[in-house]
Amino acid sequence: MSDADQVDLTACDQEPIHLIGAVQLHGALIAIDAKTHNIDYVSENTEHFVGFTPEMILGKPLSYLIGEENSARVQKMSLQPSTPELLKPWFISFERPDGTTINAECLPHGNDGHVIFEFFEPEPTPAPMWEDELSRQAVISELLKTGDLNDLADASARLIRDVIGFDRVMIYKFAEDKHGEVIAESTNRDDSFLGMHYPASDIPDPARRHFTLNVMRSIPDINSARVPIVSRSGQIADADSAAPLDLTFSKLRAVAPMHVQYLNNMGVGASMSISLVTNNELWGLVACHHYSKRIISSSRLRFAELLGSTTSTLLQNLENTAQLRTGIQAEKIAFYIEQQVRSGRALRDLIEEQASKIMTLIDVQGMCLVLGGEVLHVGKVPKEPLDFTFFFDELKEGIATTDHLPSIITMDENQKECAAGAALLDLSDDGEDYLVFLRQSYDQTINWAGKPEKIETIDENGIKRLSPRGSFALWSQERRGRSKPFDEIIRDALRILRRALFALNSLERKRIALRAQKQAEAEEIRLRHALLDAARANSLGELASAIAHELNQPLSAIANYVSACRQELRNANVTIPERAGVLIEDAVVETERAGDLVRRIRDFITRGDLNTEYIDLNKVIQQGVDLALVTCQLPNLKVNVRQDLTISKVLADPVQIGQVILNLARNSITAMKHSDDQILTISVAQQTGFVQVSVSDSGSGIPANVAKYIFEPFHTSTTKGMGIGLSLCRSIIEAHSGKIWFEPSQSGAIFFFQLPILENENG
Amino acid sequence: MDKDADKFSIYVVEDDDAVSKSLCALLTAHGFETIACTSAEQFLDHYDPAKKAFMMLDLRLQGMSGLQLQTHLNALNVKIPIVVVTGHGDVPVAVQAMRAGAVDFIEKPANEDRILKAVETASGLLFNKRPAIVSKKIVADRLEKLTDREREVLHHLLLGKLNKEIASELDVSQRTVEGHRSRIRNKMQARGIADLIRMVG
Repeated sequence: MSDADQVDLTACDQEPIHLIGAVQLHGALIAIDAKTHNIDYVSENTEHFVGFTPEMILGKPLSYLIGEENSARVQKMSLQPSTPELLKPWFISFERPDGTTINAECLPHGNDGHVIFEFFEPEPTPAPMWEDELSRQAVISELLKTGDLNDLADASARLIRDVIGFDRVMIYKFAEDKHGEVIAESTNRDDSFLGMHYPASDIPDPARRHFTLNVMRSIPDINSARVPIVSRSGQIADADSAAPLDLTFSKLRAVAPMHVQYLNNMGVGASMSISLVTNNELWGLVACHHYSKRIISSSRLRFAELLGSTTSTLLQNLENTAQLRTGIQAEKIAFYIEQQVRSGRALRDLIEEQASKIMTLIDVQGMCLVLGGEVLHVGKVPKEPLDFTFFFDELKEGIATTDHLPSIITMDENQKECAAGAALLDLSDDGEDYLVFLRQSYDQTINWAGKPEKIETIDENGIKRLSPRGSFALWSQERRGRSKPFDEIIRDALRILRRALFALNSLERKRIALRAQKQAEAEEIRLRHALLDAARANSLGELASAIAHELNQPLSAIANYVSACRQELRNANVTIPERAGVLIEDAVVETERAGDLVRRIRDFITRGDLNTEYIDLNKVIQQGVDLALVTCQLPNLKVNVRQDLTISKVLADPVQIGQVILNLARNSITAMKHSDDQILTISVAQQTGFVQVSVSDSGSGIPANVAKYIFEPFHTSTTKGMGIGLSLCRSIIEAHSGKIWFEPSQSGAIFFFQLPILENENG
Repeated sequence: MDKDADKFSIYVVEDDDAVSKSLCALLTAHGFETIACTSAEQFLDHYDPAKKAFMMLDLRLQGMSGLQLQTHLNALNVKIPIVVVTGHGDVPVAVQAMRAGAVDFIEKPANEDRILKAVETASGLLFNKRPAIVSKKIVADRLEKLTDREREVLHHLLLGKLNKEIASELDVSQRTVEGHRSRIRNKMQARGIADLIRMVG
């Protein structure tokens, strides 16, 4: 089928159907000027309905036609059209020119400076049951009994068909994209249109507008001749004339040729429709088809209209209730999640826990949650993850929805299948956290009411006929790859959920940030304590080691002296009295015991192994210096820490090396107590095979007599402490296979230490 | 036998006055000639290569350390036997010294017998009396008797580790390590680490 041949239904979008300038054959129209009450327009068939030919009454006052009394009543009528309206018939009697009485049913309405009267043949008496109050109540109560949308639509279709006796009554529901779906049907035919979808183009926009303004439309005979409306100048009052008559609210308005063709294509002989209007929007349509012509009495028409407007009202209630119910359900879920998050549970876990509930509520099949860098998939999601970047551009107040995701982002076939439509909820301002719901395409979710057949048929005259099945096929083609759209109710629910989840996410983020900060602080404190603990333990260990060494010297001397003494006595041939010999031996044994005791104490207190790891000396230096400054009492002290971020990491015990820095820095600070300039400089530099650290001060320097013993224990140059600080530094650095020494400087002293770099394992 | 032929001197290199004096006193009492040096530098000053002598060397010295002196002498190709004298905490250094050629080591405080034994070992060398070398076959047989755990402990001992360090590394009590040590000594027929190093180190 080429484009040129295509049946173009949108062509009727341009047609000014309210200026059609003609009425249907089953009634007559007379329009008067609202001020002068002179008759300006008449349909050419007036004689049959009111007994006057057009020529007799055009330009005459209304009273000429219907008499003074009736004419006076018109003055008092409220004639402005109202929506939704109910037909308010005026059963009117007046005299023909020949003196006989005319009884007519008249529907008057005012519009655009005119009052339009539409005359119908009166119904023969007696009045049918529809006029009976009780019967009406009984029927309407059937509608009222219905509980949900489908029940209501079913009942409405059935009751209306009972009243008008048509072959088929369908209830259409319009989606937000204006396409229609048959949600209920009552018919005496074998075929069914129930569940079928129709493209938006089936009902052009002007028609849609008229459906909203003019709720009731009856076409008793599709193919009856149109009756032109003529003005006083004798012209037909259509769109092409100088003064067209606006038939927006007319019941008799003639049928547009396009619509005639459309109905003929479906084999329809008579048609009737009642608009279902909720919240001033065209919600749907009661579409009635009869497969031959069928004139309906005005009382039936009126009752059908009453049923239609009752259905509208009930629909509105149901819609509002559904919206409310969905909203409440969303609020409930949001409230539950909020409560749980506030009591400490993770937002991610809660969304996972509530996922199936949420997905049922908003009618989706898949869900992707990206929160805190983690991804959670629930339900039907594509194998290959989707890149939603461009979807983010669609966000409005944190929400974006689409029924055709492939037109927004690039997708493969599998992705298209799972995610024809999607709803995006951003959960953070930075776009890091978000929630996406995925809807499958209609192909998967729609309950097809039968295989779409041919779109067009060609009849014996060679005219293309469009079948309703064809319409359906057209629609499904148009919808292929699309999902059911996210309607306003669902979007409201999404907004509710998003508002809560967004707030909770920022709460959780703050909580995590706070926890991380606390952890960092605790770690800092722990390190500091470790350093201080190690300082204590190291000092104790070093003290024990020093004591052991220092005590061993005199103990050795004693043992040697005693043994030497005994030997000298023997050499002098002095016979040592037995008791004296025992005493000498005891003395030697006791020195050994003392030595052993010292060894045990030292063993007990001595440091354990080094806990080495690859460390960045810059960091360790900073920590050691910071700690030294805590107890520093020099307000004018200037501290330079010259870091070098390019140095290799060294394999060392950070706590022990921190201890060395701490001791060196403390010594330097103490040495500067009485100096004019108080400058402490710590530098680190890489040299071949090792990293070298220097600690220099502007203090009193190291006296020559102390320099020799400076790394020995108990030789203190400061007045405080035991004098094991530098001895400890040496022990630690030597345990790291490093070297420590000092050099005098022009002002003060510089201590150096080097730690080797293990070339092969440099991290 | 020429009386002078078995005459020799002992350099006592020790910076602690009391230790030096007492050790010299003991050695003198036993008829040995001692030369006291208070530092490595002083030893290098006094050293007379013509003299038959060995050295009792304290490892912790101010200025040049014992170990540095040993390295220095090795570099000069001075082959003077060295008995290392050490405080308890310096065992790893002593082990290092043994590896570098020291003939024995004594932990302070040491009893008379231990000191005399070391003198005997060192002086023996001066007269080409090698210390009794245990054959590799015998060492292998003795090692064979050790349990896996004992062999592990031995390995650590040879690195000069303290009982406490070994205990922490093997995750056992110090008492257990002491037990292993004494069993190792028995099985290997060694008096101490010095013997062990001579055998397997």
